[in-house]
Amino acid sequence: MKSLYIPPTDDTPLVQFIPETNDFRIEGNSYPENSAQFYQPVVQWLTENLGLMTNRTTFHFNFDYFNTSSAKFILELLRIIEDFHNRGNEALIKWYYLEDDIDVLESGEDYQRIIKVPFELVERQDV
Amino acid sequence: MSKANSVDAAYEKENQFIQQFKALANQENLDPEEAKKSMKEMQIRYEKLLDEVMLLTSVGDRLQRKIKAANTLLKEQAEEIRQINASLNQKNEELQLTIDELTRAKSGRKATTIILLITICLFIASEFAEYLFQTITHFDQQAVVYTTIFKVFLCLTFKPIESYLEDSFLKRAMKDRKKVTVAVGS
Repeated sequence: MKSLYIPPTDDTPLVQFIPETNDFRIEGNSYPENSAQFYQPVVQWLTENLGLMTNRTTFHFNFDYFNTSSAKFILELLRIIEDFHNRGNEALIKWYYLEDDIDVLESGEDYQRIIKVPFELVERQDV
Repeated sequence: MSKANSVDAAYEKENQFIQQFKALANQENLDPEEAKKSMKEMQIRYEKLLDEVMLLTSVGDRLQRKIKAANTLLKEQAEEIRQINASLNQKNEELQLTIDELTRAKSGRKATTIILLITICLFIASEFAEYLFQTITHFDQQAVVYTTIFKVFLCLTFKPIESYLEDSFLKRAMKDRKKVTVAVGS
């Protein structure tokens, strides 16, 4: 099982998969100049490797800010996770938001409405 | 890649499916089963796309509200900064007036100090002159008259000399301040 690590920048989030804990993580800001260029490798990696995961996999989405084109790819990633879940695999999605960040919370609620996978909205404290 | 191209890239799969479906729709003698299968797939994809459009509209609206709120805040802060600047300018003017007054007072005090010293020296000199007159002329009364006239003359010149000194010191202080302002400005 391959691990994945894309370091964060000012405009793009951290993307990481840790095989030891079966945790998939996207966190930070997401407003890349070209969302397709940034997210397509992530979509491809997930498509190729998700089927190899046997234990329950937790997907952490922890955004400070994301633009509209990133929203499209976030949905695509969530759809891949939904297909994985529909094939009988255990998956849990955790969507994080800051206490006073209504925008990220409401976006999470929108995704929760569309994606039929255990989906938790988790309030986090700012460090 | 341009912005338009990057958006095209984001919807490449959807575009490809539309092209395939168009090709199928333009086929003559289309197999009904194949047509039904394509329609079903089209329905599923359309539903997904509709969900996506609704979600992106919702996200877009939220982002616009956020931008609007940020713009309003920026305008308020700009106005606040403008008012603070105006207040600072006023304070600067008051400060400048105060500095001018202080400089004037300083120059006046300097001139007064110098006049005081001159007065003391002249007083001593006049006493000595009186003694000399008395010694040379041997006429006490004349000596007293001459020295008194001398002292009156000195008293009358004190104020003009003090004013002249005060003006000189003030001009020099203003000139020095201008030099400092030009040096700081450059």
